[in-house]
Amino acid sequence: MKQKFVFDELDDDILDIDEMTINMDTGVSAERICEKVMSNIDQKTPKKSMKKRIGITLVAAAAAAAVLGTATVAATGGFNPAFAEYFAGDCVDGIYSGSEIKINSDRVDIDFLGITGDDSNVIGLAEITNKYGSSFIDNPEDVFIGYDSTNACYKPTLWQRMTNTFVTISNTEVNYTFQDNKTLRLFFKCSDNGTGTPKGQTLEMQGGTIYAYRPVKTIYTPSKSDDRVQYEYDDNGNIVWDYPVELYDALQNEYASQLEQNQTITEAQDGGSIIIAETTEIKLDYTLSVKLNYKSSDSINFTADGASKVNIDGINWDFLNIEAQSFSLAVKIRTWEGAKLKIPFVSLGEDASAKQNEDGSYTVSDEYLEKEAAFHRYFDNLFSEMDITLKDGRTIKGKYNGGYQFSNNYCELDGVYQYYENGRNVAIDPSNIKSISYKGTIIAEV
Amino acid sequence: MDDSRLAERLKMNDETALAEVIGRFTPIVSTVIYNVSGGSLSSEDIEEIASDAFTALWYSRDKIINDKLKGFICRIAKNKARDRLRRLDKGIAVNIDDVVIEDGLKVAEKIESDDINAVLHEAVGNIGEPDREILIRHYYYYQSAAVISDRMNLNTDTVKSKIRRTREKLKKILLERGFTG
Repeated sequence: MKQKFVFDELDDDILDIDEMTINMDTGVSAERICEKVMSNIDQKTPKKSMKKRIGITLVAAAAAAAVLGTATVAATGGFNPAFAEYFAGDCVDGIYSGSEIKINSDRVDIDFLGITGDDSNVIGLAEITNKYGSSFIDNPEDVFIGYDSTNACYKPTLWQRMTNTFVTISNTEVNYTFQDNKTLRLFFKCSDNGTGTPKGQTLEMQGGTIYAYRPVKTIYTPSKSDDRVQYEYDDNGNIVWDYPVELYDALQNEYASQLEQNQTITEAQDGGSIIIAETTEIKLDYTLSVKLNYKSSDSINFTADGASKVNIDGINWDFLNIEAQSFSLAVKIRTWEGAKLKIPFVSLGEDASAKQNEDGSYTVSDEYLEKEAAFHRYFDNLFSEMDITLKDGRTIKGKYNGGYQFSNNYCELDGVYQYYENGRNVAIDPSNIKSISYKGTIIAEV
Repeated sequence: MDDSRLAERLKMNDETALAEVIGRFTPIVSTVIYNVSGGSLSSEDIEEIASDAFTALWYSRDKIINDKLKGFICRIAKNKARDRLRRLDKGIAVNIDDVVIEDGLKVAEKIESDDINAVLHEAVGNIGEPDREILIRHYYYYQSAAVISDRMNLNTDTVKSKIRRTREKLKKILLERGFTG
């Protein structure tokens, strides 16, 4: 077959050519394009009009499918006590989740959330998302809170996105920009990490500041054809705009009706567009504690869409990270230590705590075995069924029995899904997979 | 601000970053669209296609590889331009996806397409100047040999010759790296 010349994949540095010698005068206006694009985006993503002051509406905890326990909440600090309702979550198999804080803002900064417990192995997980599922799935901004049991203090360095990429934060700050209606949703999850279900333990959440900002709005984007601005190129070939004072004044007048309290017209530090910026509007400091009691066991319907999201009783979770690796499909669980365990094809050799010997065998640390045991205790039954749906409509059904057993002549060999056809094994091309779903039941031990 | 940072901000759903991207890339995007159409599109058409491209960029921002922002938006623009030209039943000046290294060059079946991408990437990156620039101008930015010769102060025949020789050079590299002829 002929191989296409794939210029589209080249890095920008290879494409780097003096754009002045490439660009042509096509008569188009970046400003008009910008207006059109922003309008397109606005139409598809309805935004609330900017209000004079930003308020927080607290939404009481939604009733979960399985309410297993009760929570008592005590709140102190200078904020609306209703805020505590948010934390009045339910507990399901060592997991309890709160409900929602609705914030009329495009951006929320969370400046510290902590969780402690009387079990040194408690972990905490915070997920920041909006209220509705679609944007949540498309743009997860999840953070993971780890509890340092060795020195009994918060360990903000463990904050990280569940997508394995560290959030662009400075230790204790997370920035998140919502796409649409602004609901901040936080979940907290506790697990005993293998040392016994944290039955009836008391959890405390301390500290925390939530800042909300109004959205910024681009009001003017310069273009070379605009003779009100001048520009020059810096050493890196970037345009450096020069805004005359007169232009600021003109813009100030032009957009005066849009300006509200605490708003200013400002130039982005990096040059380019002038925006209406908003300063801090909300600051909540809180201290509260949650006493948690719950039943000993329950089942959770568990499905995954093949991406990094897991759905439990209608709530999306990211604590299991499912990913295809050369289509050796592996499911990872991230523990509070950041250790990776793979299921159901636990690959000891790929875990840092398992050392491969010269004869090819593995020496596995007690720590790893403990984690693995903990994992099996909780998740052996999790993926009792797995369906792989291919793009051609075929569905491969698998049942877990110490390893997956597939229908339709499919099998799993060395972590690669294969099927038997015309006398040979054929590996499933990952690009032919439309979706993967898991079903199972968690039986918690108490 | 460098493009990587802009890409990061886009992924953080920062609409102001999109505005900056539009300001930064409108000239090159509109040029690419113009070149794809061979000059057959009006300014209004180009503006509309560019708007569609930037809108599409916004909705696919999570797929941007940070050091390929320019390539990413240009690629979207090219696809949008091609779509429009097809709808208008107008010709496409050069369809980059139809360009092959050389007739008869084949890729071993077991070699992943990613491999050839990587080899091409490396090979193009290692081509000396001005050959690289000529190649990129011609195949990526759709500039004709005449325009390239004008912008680079080179003879037109020299440009054509260098394009041909560079293609040969790439073919040789690919053959040496295990791709079969």
